[in-house]
Amino acid sequence: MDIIRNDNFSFLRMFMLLKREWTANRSKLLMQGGILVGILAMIYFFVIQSSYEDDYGVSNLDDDAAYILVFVMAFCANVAAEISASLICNNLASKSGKINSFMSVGTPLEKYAVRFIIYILGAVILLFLAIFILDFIRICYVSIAYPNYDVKSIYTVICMEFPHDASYSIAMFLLAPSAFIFNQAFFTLMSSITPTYTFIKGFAVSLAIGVVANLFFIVVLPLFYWIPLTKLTDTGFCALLIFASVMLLITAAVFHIIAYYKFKETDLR
Amino acid sequence: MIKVKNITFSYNGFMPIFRNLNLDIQEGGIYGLLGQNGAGKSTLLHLMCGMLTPDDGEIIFNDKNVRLRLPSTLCDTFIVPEEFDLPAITMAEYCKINAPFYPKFSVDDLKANLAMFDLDYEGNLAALSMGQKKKAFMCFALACNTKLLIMDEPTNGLDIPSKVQFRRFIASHMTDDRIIIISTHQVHDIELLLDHIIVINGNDVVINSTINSICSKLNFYTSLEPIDETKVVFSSKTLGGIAYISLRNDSDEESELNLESLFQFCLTQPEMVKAILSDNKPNNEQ
Repeated sequence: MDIIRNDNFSFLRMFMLLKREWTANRSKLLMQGGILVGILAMIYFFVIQSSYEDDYGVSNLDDDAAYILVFVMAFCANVAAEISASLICNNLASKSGKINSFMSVGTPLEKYAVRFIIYILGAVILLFLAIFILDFIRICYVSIAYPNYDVKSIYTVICMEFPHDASYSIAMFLLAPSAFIFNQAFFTLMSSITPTYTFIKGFAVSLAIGVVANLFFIVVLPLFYWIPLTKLTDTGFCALLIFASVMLLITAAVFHIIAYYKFKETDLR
Repeated sequence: MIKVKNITFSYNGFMPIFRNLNLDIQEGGIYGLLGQNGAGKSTLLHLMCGMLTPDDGEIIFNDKNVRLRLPSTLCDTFIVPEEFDLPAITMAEYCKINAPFYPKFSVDDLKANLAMFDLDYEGNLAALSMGQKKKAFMCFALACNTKLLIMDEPTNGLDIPSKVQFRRFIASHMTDDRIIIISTHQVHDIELLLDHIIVINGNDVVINSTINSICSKLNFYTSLEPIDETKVVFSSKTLGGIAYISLRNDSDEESELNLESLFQFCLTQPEMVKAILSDNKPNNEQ
């Protein structure tokens, strides 16, 4: 059957749409990616400038900057991924953008998948690549300029240096990525609901939810029922982390499904 | 063929723009969609492309509901909207990424169309003026050779020579299996081009007829002198005199359609127009 006239999902047509989207918007996408990498580079530069000093009298100094960068980069990666996800339905903000999207030859799922690849997967790949390269440059630079430091990559810090217990591993390798995926999905959903100024609106909504949730868990809930977190065993705490991670992933999947249906049902109104 | 079946549509949930609208559009015609500002011309075009969701009813094209936005209907549909964005790439690149989605696309047609408007195939689309962008986009639209081509106010932003070229350009691309729908309020720009007219007014289709059918029932003429008004159904003052529309007898010589007068006739006496064109000739002395 003719690929173009096929009304079912087609990977080939999806890649044609992806190529079309990339060619038509590459300068805008490259500029957005460039700004993101530039901001990360500036943060790296600032941390390097303020964390290392020449002290030739002492050798094997601890690379404290690597520990700082783990947290700084985790925060930046989250914010960058949220900004990227909030752009997923950005072109549906204008009438001409909507017409361009609706009249593209492809199923709604293919069109959504193209956006997902660019703004969700693409953002993750770009972020990890940028952080990897920036960190590699930092290691090379510090090794030459400050040989008195025992320089470490942030990936080494994440995998080797933090204390090795089960709850740490779950938090680092399951909860943190789940929270990251959840954040992206939340901003994707926000973008499908309100395509303009999505990041600001999404930030405001998440802040409001955060305040309400904190009030509930810290103020209201203890009035009726006290969860003795301090009495949890290690196994119980691990189970709680796993449960939280799974819930975040399920919610993220639900957000993406709702965002897809919202995208599919949007019309020119 | 496009079948508009019992469409009801409103933007706000009440005050519908269309109520139980029915319309059949056959292949092989250049349709002029006319109506006052706010009558719902663009809305109807957007409904026909599946870009708006009707409150009730459906629009069928290629035996499928257009609102599903299925690839099999989208690859046979092209719309030139009033406002559009073109990426900052060359026409050659634009063609390379978009043409594969239209099975009947012809690059030779595109190059010929661009040459007609003195546009460059290798030129960057971002460097073009608004009018040139419109011409470039229309060149691409016609080269797609889709079964359904919809143009919303296509002559807006075109200079006078381009409007003349536009008519020639559209006429040269018409084939028996195509439907071209042109929505405009600048009736002079397209009246020589059309072979079918649709006039919408107040939730309803007043006319959906061929030019031949209209001219077989009505005579159009302009006179400086008042004339015998026994057969006149409509008259209005124009710069060139008084424009008359009268009922045509079989013995009368066929006249050239005056689209502007016909449009005004539709707005002022829609029921009479409907009655005349549906062969229930009214008593014009009413």
